[in-house]
Amino acid sequence: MSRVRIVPTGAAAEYFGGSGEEFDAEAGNLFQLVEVLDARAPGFGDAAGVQLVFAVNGEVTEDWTAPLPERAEVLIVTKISGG
Amino acid sequence: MPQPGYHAPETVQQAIALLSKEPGARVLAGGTDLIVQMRSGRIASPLIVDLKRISGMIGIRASGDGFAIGAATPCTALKKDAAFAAAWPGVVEAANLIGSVQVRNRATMAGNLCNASPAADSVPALIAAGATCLIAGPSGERELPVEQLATGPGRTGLATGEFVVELRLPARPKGGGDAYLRLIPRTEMDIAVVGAGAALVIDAAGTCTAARISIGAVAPTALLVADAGAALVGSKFDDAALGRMGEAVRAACSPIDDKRGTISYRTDMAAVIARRAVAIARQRAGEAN
Amino acid sequence: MNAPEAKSGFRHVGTRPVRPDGIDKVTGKAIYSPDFVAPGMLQGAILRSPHPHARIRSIDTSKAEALPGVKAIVTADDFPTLKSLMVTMGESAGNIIHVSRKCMAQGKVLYDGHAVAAVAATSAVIAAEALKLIEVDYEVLPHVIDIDEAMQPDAPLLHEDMVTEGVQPRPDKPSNIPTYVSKTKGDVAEALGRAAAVVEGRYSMPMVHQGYIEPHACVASWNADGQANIWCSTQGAFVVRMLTASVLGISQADIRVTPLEIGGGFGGKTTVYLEPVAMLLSRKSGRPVRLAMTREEVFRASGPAPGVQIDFKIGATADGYLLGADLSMKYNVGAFPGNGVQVGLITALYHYRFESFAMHGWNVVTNMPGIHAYRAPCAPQVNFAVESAIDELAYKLGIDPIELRLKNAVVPGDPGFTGGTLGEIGFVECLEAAKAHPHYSAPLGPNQGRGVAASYWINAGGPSVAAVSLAEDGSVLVTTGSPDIGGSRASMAIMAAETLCIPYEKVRVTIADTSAIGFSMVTGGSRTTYATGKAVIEAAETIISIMKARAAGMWGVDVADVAWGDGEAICLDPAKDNQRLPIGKIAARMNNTGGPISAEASVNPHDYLPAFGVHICDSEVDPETGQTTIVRYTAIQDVGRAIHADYCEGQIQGGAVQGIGWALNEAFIHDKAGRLDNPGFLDYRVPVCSDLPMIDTVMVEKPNPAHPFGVKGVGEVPIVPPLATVANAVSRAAGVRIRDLPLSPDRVYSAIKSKG
Repeated sequence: MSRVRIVPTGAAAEYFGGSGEEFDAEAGNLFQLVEVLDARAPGFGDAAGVQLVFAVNGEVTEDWTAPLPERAEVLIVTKISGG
Repeated sequence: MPQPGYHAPETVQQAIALLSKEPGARVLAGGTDLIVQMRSGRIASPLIVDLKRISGMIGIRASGDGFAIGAATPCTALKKDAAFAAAWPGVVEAANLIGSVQVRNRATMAGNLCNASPAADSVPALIAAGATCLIAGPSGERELPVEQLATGPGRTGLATGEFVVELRLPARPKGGGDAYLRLIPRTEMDIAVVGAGAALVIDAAGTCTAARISIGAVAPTALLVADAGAALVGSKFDDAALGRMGEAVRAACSPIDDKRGTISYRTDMAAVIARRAVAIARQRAGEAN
Repeated sequence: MNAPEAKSGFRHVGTRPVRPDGIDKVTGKAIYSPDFVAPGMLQGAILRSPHPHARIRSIDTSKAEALPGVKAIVTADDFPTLKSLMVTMGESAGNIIHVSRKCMAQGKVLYDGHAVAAVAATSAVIAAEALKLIEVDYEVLPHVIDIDEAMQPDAPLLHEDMVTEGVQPRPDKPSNIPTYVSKTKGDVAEALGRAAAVVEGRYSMPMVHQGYIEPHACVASWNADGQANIWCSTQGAFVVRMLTASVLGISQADIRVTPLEIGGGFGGKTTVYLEPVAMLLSRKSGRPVRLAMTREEVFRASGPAPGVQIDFKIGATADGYLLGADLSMKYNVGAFPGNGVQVGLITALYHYRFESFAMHGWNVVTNMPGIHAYRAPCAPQVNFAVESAIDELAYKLGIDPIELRLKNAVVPGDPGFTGGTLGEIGFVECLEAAKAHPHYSAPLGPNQGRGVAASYWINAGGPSVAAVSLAEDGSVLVTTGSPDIGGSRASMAIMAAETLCIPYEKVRVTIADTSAIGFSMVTGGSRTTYATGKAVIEAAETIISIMKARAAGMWGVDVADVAWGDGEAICLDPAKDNQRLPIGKIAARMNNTGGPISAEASVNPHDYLPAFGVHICDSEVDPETGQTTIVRYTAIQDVGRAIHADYCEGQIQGGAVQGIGWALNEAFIHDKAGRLDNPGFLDYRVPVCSDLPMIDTVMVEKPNPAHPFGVKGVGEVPIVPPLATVANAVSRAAGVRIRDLPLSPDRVYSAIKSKG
């Protein structure tokens, strides 16, 4: 388990009060984090990975099995489409 | 399912008979307006009468001192007729601004005239050149100045059974020169926001002795602006005369505001484009002296 | 042109071989979507709303059904009711309900051209006639096209249940504003207070369309046993499969989507408009059904790019360091919530080191077709405002516009928009190349002006699958699920040939259907050469491993004693005297050494890097008419490394040309009744050849260390800078700043006139 800083932006902020306020959560990897956040904001789990992506310490992370580093910043951003 | 009938008569009389029988019939020359309008649903005609098999409909021939151009002569063919291209370069250039090369291989000036778009490119050039059209119909033939054929956007004074057989242009006068210019947002493949034709005659001293100025896309039909021509006659194209010509052009404008241009822009541009057309026509007239 | 010719020790990378799909395409043999024919196929047609906003009271199809030759009619009643569900489309997300409603209006029509019913008949003429017999009873509603009007509290509401996301407290009333976003850094007011120069302005541009030459078209065949085939042109056969299955509520494996050749997409072909409708018509009629849009339908009822209204205030120190930026963005996203301003937020300012900024953005729905992706979607719009203002600031401060950008440009190690640090980006290299280019110092003629602008695009990675196999003679087959819209067959062949050390012509590439290979994300986001390329390279490397093992078996040596080079296995065992086995000999014996040699690679890379571009434009303005001529244009771009040099340059030129089109003439024009007034190429003016000079390109190559050959994305960033580049050039030539696009002759003329 690592304690990580959650930074929800854009559509992600909607799930956590809308103000974009940062908060801490505990999880070992992104699968666990999504579960934790879904419990806190029901529906978040469905949006994660579809509408939202995670950047762990600034790196967009698609492999949700990778261990989360202690004190990592997890930025949640809206997926962007290319042409 | 309404499918239009198609006829390709071999004589003018057969064409008149077909057109007389069906008031909704349409004449097909190049078809570059007609087919597009039929496909888009703007026109639903029960009968199409193709002129191209009638003898004399395609080609340019001498007629007296001048030229007769068959109604189904494609625009690109005008360029290949050296005598005509030398006499009326403004008309040939105007006709070869329409659409693309592929379109101009089919499109005709007579069709451009009878489609009666206010923005038709060849029409102001023909008006400036003093062209007439020969009309055949149930009550015989009649000849009409080109500027009198269209009566409004998409409308002509042709009666049921009538169609344009040929366009007639005089010989180039001594000291004569013509030009047509249009303004479009692109460089080609576009429709005139404003068009202007000029045909001038100047004497050896450089004085304008005759001038016909025409404008397109700024009124319900292409217009001959007699006052604009009159402003130039007797002048040596000094700024005052050109200014009066421009004012006469502006006064003749009654454009609409639409997606292709505003009233004020079209009016301002008509004077600018007319002045530029006059400059080219004057240069050609000077070279002819 | 300064492209590399097989430098850096590569055998194929950076060269310009003939494209393998070229002959079919130039001789007309290639099958594009409107060309495809299935046996017994019916012709479909779609009835579209003449109103921009109306409630559908009823639809009576009985007369149309009675018309001989009509085999099926579909309305919204034939679509399953869907639960709101976000799905991945391309690289972004969309609500499946909106996807479905773009295929067929449900209850309300939301834009001129919105589909209300569809017919399949034995001929196109009968289908068209049947449309006229369908009676739709509309209750016409007030419509709204303009951004400001749509944001008014009393504006006609498109969606009665739509409440703005991102506002605290949550609004208690619905509005036409689906999204509010914001991002701030530092104290902008304080920073701007310290500025030696401040520039402020409102910028706008209208909705524009991708203008792909090939209209949307498909043939669908849905059998009674539930299995279906769809043939269509798309940037992503898998997204067509997923969206069609989701809209219709059926299993994805039941739909086999075959991507045909694609005549342009630019992002616009990463969704479905026709396929679910054709499927329903096919199921009802029991026959394959073709649906093909006309050009008018494409303009009225597909997915254009948003129009915007942007307020921007920017300030800098006297020596040109950017202090603060205050940015308000309103994106007109058309009839449905979409990804508009969210992208504006990410692409607006991150190429410069602003000390502080405040960004606010709103998406606004209007009675226009819902937006869809268009080449660096939503970035050019905001870049136009930002780079116009930077230009004004440079002139105000008396600093060279490239110099000012160099002072503020981000470099590797600076923060990017995700909070992480930027990797091996090449922005400064591009700016230096622009400054050094002869174009930048060439003299200007009368009535001419020069403009520059810079931009970046994030690019993308994502999942791809590729298969590589050997034919018995040692030639190589590469199969991917990435439709070829920009020459990717050639670039995949180059990368496979480079990896295997064999001739380019020995590799042939096939784009497979959705049942023939595993999932790949769309060809879009500038991701294909990078991500699918990685899969091809990985599969080719596996093939090499297998061949080395097979050669070891043939020689009877340990595989550790086999190397690969020059298209052949090399025996390192001294006893074997450096023997060699060419790929053809290994292939000829593969069924005696273990069976067919074939490998598949499945990747999901995200170590892509953003692309940067700097453009220079000289324009000449006719002061009497306001007409603009683009006299000279140079586009400089960091491409990472060019795989096929021609196609990189082609992408850069194509992007620049599309951007020039936006800048000069392209615009959706609506009449007072809310109908699109220019749904054709006559009055929707994309540039024609004679409008343009040769677009000169300079490829800066700063390789992406995370790609075996250094690939960064190329296709999208070149459309971003042209808007401001041209506007800066024209403003300079005209002697007056113009902040609204397009720079059509009448707009430039009235600007010149108003300056007196």
